Amino acid sequence: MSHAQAHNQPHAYDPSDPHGFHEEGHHGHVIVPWQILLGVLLALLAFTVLTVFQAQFEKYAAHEWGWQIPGWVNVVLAMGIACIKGTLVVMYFMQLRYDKGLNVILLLFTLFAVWLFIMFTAIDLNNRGHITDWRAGEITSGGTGVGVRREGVTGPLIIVAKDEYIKDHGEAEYEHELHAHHATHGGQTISTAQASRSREGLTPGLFSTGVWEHLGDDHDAHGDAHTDGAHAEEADHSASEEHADENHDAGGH
Amino acid sequence: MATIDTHQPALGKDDKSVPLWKRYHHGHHWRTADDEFDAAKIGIWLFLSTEILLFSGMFCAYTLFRLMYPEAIAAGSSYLDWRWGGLNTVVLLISSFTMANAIRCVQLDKQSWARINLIITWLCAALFLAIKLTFEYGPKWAQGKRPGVLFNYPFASETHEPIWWGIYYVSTGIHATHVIGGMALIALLIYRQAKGSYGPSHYTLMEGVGLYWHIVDLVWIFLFPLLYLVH
Repeated sequence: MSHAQAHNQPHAYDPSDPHGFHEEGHHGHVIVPWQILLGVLLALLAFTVLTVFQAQFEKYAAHEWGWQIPGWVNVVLAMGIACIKGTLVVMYFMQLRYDKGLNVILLLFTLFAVWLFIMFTAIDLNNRGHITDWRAGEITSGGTGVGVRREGVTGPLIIVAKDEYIKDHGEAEYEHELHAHHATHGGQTISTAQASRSREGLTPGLFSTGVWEHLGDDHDAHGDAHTDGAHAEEADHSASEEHADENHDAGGH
Repeated sequence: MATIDTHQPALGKDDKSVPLWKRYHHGHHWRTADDEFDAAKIGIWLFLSTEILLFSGMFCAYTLFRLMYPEAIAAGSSYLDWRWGGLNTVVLLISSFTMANAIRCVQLDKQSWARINLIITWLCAALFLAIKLTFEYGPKWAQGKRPGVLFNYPFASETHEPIWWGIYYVSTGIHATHVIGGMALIALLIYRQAKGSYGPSHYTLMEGVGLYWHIVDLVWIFLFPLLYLVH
């Protein structure tokens, strides 16, 4: 750097200073007024109430008025509110609003990296099967019991757990407990018209390997849930067939 | 907006009557206390960016498994009670507020208020963990709602529920580990603050721990709707 340029700098060049430049003056640290901090806290609490309310509202609307709100609305609203809350925390509690631009750039770049991370993993997962079919199913083990090394595991873990329970406690006890358990979390485990438990999801039919294909047949056959289960299954089959066609067209095969 | 002058000369190094923060002098390799503070803060932000990336691994797993097995995630999510999750959200938000307030009090040299705020922050962290362990991890683990190969819940309805429990325990578990780490750091702050280490011209460690604590809060802000509300 030449001297002529150095003199144009805000801080004068000083050869006796090991860092080259004098710091002329200094900026103070911002003290955020407590009114702002408290206001942000109240806003965060209000948004928490709002996000809980909107999650409940979907069920309520379907039950009371028969409104069918699509599942994605719930996701988009919940994530939108979370983003607003996160922005408030970052701007005021973490004081990025008053902070140096470099720290802001650091955070934004990190968020960009997060986006890359999730997007590229999703693209990879979605397209593995397009090159070699056998790669498509690789990730589906885990819950299904495939590849699980535990004594007595010959099928999906949920069936193993059920069979072990029936062996120890008997069928009647199982049926009794089943109802008790399902009552504790809403009394419903299978999708109905009133619940937003979408069977389609966003990427339907992704990685159906055909392993444990007939799992649902004997498992859904219990008590009151039986009829619902049958409906859900039919819906599932038709939905997955439709989407299989869509995927086919989109894939351009 | 009010600012404080951090450019104060260090007073008598061995004078016990002068509080520690007034005796503090920035490292000789820094031009000013501000340079030291800003560098420390960039360091903390770099660390926080790695933290965000660590948690994003879990968010990535959540997103993709949700796309693949929406019904298993929905079934798993329905086992969680939003009231405990919501209560924990409120607890963490309050602790984030008191943390920010503690820093503000130190900047204004209101030492006893700073202490009160720090202690509330620590208590909220402890309460968060207590709620998590007593009402969530404990009962669920006992019922056999466990991750992966440990899964042993006989009343499950979806084949891939063990994967849901894997996501649940790993994401909330790593978050809880951060809460424990935060508690240790806040305890250190309480101890050092009581000794008079922090004041208007020197509170670098408090600022750093504060930023870390807000990130822990931030992660929970996203975990709460994803695990408890979105179905």
